Amino acid sequence: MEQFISHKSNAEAMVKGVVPTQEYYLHGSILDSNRETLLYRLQGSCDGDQSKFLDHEQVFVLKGQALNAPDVNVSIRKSLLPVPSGAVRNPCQMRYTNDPDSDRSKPTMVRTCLDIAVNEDQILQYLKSLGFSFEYEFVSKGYVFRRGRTKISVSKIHRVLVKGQTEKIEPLTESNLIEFSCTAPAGTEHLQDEIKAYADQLKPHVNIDKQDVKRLVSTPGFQNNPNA
Amino acid sequence: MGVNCVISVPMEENKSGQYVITKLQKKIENLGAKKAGHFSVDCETYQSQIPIEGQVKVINNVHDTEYPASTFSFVENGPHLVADNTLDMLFAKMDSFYAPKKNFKIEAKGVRYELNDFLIKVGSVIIGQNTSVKGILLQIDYTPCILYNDSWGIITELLHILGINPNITNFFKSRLEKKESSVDYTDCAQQYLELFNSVRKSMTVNQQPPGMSSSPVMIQGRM
Repeated sequence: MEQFISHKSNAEAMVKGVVPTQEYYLHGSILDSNRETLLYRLQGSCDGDQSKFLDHEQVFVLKGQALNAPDVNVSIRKSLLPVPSGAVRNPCQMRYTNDPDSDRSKPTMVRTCLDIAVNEDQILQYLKSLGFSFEYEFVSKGYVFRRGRTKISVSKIHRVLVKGQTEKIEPLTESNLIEFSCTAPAGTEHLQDEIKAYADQLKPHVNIDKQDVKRLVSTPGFQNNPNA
Repeated sequence: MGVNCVISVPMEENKSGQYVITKLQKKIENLGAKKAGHFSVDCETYQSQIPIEGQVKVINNVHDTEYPASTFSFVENGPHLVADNTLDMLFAKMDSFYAPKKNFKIEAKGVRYELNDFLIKVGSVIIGQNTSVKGILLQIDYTPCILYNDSWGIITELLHILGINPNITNFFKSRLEKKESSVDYTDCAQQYLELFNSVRKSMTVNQQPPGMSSSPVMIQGRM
């Protein structure tokens, strides 16, 4: 484990055969009117500059009802930002996540995740042939920051009006999603304290905490499907 | 990355697989080729536990030491995917849906040679835990060129020098039939997969009770 901690990035760790499979994360929300203040604060306290992103994410599920097995969820995320001339577009990312750990004593939410870079041209047909079915899609637009091993994103979720057509989108709410996350191999629980400590520093601006998605979904009036 | 051609080398009667490999390696070394490490190409096969779209799906995940961070995943009679090798961990997460076929893992491994513009690999094929040689594969890469038709002449010449009949795979043949067909990262894995399937098929036929038809391990070419 010490070997992993000494790596500066996940990419460096993976070259040496260490695969990060745990994600520690916290979520928060901020209104458009207060977003600039938060971004200003993040710029001052994070490493390096912020990066803009505009990503299209499609979520697929392999339903396990027939086999009495839990569903398998994967999402395909690809950038919609134009590629500078002469540069090569990064491959799109397939991400597997399972349900978060329900242990309330932990300072952050914890879930198993796998990030897999895949070639873009055949991924949708591949998932379909494996039995995955399309669930929903959205476009996420915002900024990403880095602070040590923690990734901080402030983004606005947009609804896709016509399936697969990312030109026709509209904001889902007047709020922005804030996510603090860190991926690491199993057994690196100490990273949770690091994430939580930084989230607490931002308390005067915004409350970033554990969000129980299952409880949120069962709240009356919550629309499970962002495309609904 | 240049045009690559993978062919099956026929076994010799009453001779061991290792004898044929050593003989071939000597011929390659006599041409002036230098040893440049070892290589391995393996294939793990998964099968869906229930029919999907009305049929049982078979997925072949091929790994090549030439691309150590990648997995080439082929759905039988379907699309294929090039992904990070963490894709194998996703299949472990989907074990209720896709189970690996037991004793079905097949691997070709051997020595890698460099001969000017050529990269030559001689590998013995083994299946599952059994270490006996089930076949011999020869891979020839002509690195300066990415067009199949333009490389085929020089690859054939090298095969003739080595005394090997160019019994190419159906995949390679289909590439040659298309004009201006250029090489893709998955081409090498596709050729290995076709040859692996032929070796598996010949093993199944050879394991049938006496009296039933059987075919030799050698893969018959279509050219």
